[in-house]
Amino acid sequence: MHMVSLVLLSLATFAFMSTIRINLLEGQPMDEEQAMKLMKEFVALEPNEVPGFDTKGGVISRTATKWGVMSLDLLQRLRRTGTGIPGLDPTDIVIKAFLLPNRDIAYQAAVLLTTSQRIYPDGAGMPQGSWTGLPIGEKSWATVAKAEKPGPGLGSSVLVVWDKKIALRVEVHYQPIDPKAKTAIFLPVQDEDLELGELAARLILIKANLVLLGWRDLPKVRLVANRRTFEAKKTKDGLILAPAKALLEGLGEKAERKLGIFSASWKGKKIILPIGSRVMLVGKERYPLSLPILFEGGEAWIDGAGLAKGLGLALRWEKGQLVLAKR
Amino acid sequence: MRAKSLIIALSIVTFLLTIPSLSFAQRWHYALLTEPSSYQLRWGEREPPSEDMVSMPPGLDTSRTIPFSPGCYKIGTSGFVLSYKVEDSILRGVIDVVVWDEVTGETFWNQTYNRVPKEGKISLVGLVLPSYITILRFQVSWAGSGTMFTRFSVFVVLDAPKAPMEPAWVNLLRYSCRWGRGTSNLEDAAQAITFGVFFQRPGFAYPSDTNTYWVNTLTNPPSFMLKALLDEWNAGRWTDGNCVNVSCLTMLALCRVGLDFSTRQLTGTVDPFTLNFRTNPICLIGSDPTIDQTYSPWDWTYHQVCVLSNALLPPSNTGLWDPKAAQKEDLNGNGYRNPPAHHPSHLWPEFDYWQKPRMQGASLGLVNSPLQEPTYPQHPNVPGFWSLGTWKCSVSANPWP
Repeated sequence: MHMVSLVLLSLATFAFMSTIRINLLEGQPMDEEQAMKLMKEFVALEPNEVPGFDTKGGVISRTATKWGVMSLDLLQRLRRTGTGIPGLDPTDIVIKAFLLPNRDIAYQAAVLLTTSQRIYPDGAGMPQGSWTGLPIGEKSWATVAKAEKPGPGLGSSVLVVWDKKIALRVEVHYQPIDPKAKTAIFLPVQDEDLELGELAARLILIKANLVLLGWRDLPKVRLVANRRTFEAKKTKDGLILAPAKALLEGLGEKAERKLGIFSASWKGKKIILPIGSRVMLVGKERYPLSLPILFEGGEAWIDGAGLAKGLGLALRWEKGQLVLAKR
Repeated sequence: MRAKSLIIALSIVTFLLTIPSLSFAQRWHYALLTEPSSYQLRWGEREPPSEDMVSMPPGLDTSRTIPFSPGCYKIGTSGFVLSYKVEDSILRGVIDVVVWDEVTGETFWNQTYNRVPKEGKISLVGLVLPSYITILRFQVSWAGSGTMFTRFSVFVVLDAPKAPMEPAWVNLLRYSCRWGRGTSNLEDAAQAITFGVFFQRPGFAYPSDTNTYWVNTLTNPPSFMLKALLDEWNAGRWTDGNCVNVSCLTMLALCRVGLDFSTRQLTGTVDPFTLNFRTNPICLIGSDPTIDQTYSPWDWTYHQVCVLSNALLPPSNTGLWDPKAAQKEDLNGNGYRNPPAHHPSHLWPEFDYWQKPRMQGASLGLVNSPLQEPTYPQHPNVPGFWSLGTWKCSVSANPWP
């Protein structure tokens, strides 16, 4: 996120924190108009934020839901053209994000966003999972048609994510190879496009969380690891958000990012940090996190306590600063 | 000789100079069908409905923000009165009204009114709208110091639009009147529109993940994103659509032409492990039903179809319309290859449509296995409107970005 965006984010965060109307975000009262403005300006994706996909921006609206509460909705279409491959022009990624007043309703909304002609044991219309198999949000569901060759009904995939007050649905759509044919034959949705679609979901989720947290105004804290000093953030609830990439590199490891996934190795084990996930993976172990892994300024910001546990270390206060060290 | 040439040249110049000056002075103020009243319409382009209404009466009014308005009338309507006003340099002219069928291009009615004043009312005596669904195009011409014309559409429907399509949406009328064109009663229209939805190209293609794409399930009742869908079709793009999407759109198209239809979800005894039932081989929407390879069985937990509003629950013989899939054989075992659409000459009663005979492995109707029951048992895991008899979605004109 570049500097102008950060300044705008800061101003907008200040604006919404200083107004008192409705209580949608993290217990912080905010004006509905401000919330809609934030959704449009900071949560909606920008052109090429998902590589190769253009967008005209998001449309923000309000929905009177069946639970008697309003949701703030972001609808956005990302479109890729010019591949020159029949069946891939255009490719659309469609985003439908709903911000609801409480966690229970957001979960119910997410389940309804999975509606299909099938019902799975948890009551959703899609099986649990994601397109990459990596965790995202508190819970997610995904469908994709796997096929060896083109056929009818293959050109779309759906990913639904629930995370706290957010219900999110991302779709990837192809057009038929021959739009004038009597039978619409689609290419199976390619793994690369599923990864890009999932990146869109992860970005929307973490951007919403950045706004929810009032990111720019979070106080900084000193964090020391391996005799080096890092800058962490502290949320209103006292959670420490640590810069995972910088920390791992400070500990002598190299962290890499591919689309929405940070990875590194640690004592012979592979560490995977999917942004937007409330879980970090170390080898085959899963370590829960209190907040989704955030992505800001090229850095993965992660619940410090969860990271320490995952690395087999301890995070404690010493003389006014945080120290990440052996237990 | 030279004087004669000069006079001719001057005459030509004068003539050429006069024509544009007359033409520039000539313009329409309005040409409106002021009687009888049209059904109220909305464009279907934006929310809220109050900001989306079509100005009435139908025709041209240059003082409106959107000068042209289509109209919508019941089949057989007559007694039309054209109110008009033009600006021209001469006092009287000729009005010519031509009405043709927009679908077939055939002229339906034509009348010329000579030596009429620049402003007035003309009773279109003899103009009786057809007895079938169609779209007519009106052209009103004025011949005075020059000629000019204006055009607008009139939709001919079976009856007043029914909820949730009241007021009716112009953008859906363009489809439903084409699908149902030439039909003049409920049975024919419902069959034609069911077929029309199934064979629409570009149109719906059934997604193998069985997902619902165009219905916002967060609202009560669920809201169909009609404008968003039609924008895609109008741009030449295909859209995904499962039974919920397809039956809701068909229901809206039927309500639009004055038929009171709803949707209903059907299920029976699902497999306790998969929670699904298995269908007979069917050809889903978006595929060519004339080809054998497009037919295959599907596993679903439920299926949604169109029925008459307030239709009785089975085992009554209420008719059923299922635009989502074609069946290779009808309920008598004859070759069919069309989507089931109840009709006096081709019955698709709900009870038999589901499974005939009612036994495992039955080859006729939708369901192959397991044996289905004639009622609609509640399923504990199924959310929402499962237990309702018949239901209607609402409609949204919210756009896609």
